[in-house]
Amino acid sequence: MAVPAIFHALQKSALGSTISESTWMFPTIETVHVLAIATVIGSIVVVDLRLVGLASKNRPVSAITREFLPWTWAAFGLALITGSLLFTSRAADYLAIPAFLIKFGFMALAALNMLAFHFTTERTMSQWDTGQPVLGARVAGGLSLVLWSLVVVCGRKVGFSL
Amino acid sequence: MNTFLTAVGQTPLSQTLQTVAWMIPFIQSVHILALAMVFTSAAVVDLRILGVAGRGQPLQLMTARFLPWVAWGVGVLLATGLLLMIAEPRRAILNPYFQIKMAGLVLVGAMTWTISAAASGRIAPGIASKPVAALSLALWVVIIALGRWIAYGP
Repeated sequence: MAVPAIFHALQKSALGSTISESTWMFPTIETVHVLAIATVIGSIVVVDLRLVGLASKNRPVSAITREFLPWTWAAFGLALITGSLLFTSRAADYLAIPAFLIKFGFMALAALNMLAFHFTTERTMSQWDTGQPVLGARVAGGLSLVLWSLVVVCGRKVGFSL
Repeated sequence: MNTFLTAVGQTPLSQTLQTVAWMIPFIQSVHILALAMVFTSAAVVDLRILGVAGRGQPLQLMTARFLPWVAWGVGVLLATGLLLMIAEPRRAILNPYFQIKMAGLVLVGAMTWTISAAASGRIAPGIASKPVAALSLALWVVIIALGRWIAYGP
């Protein structure tokens, strides 16, 4: 599948070529990206392990999500910004890598999982907030753990595919 | 040292790691997942001491909940890190970023142990102070940054 011309233009743009031609910019942005995803994944895992019923069992689920998810979203924003900058430097090349596209497929599935939980199981949370998580919560937490791990695996594979 | 590193690079384990294409990215992925757990767990405790997060909870509960994840996570990081070193001994051992990273790890390990001991009352509680927490958090950031920079080292 041919990569649309606009991505070749993005790669050759002033921003794209500045990042790819600099010796320090790409590694520096990449470092911030790693720190951001470490915070995203780490905080999601804390929430997921509570949803599955494996950790923080004596804390209400609502307390865990209130404490951790703001950090998840802030770090996700940072990962999105740094990821976009990294993408700009080799936009057309990245789009030709299967692992890159699969990574976003898994992220889309993780988002769907989150939305499904939000609109179904989470509505009844007051009933199981402090006790054993219901099946819907366990499934959502387990799926999230698997999907985000696969996002990391694909992301790392991208670095070996250029 | 050079002879030793060359010998390590020629062992069957090293050769397997170098030739099976998916192994290095997979081990690095496990390394990243473990560092995500370690970094987040350590940050939760440091931010609690700094008064930024989790203010409603006793520090001892936070360290009991999160520091075991740091300990086990660092175990996974050492195991996966060792495999990555065996795969490319020269890339790591002779790399100044790697050497500074390991020094930082020893330092942050000692600081984390100190925070844990202070929180559980084995040493003076005041030792788990804001400067210690701030330095610990900064060290984790530097350690992760140096890890990424090993790939770009001299």
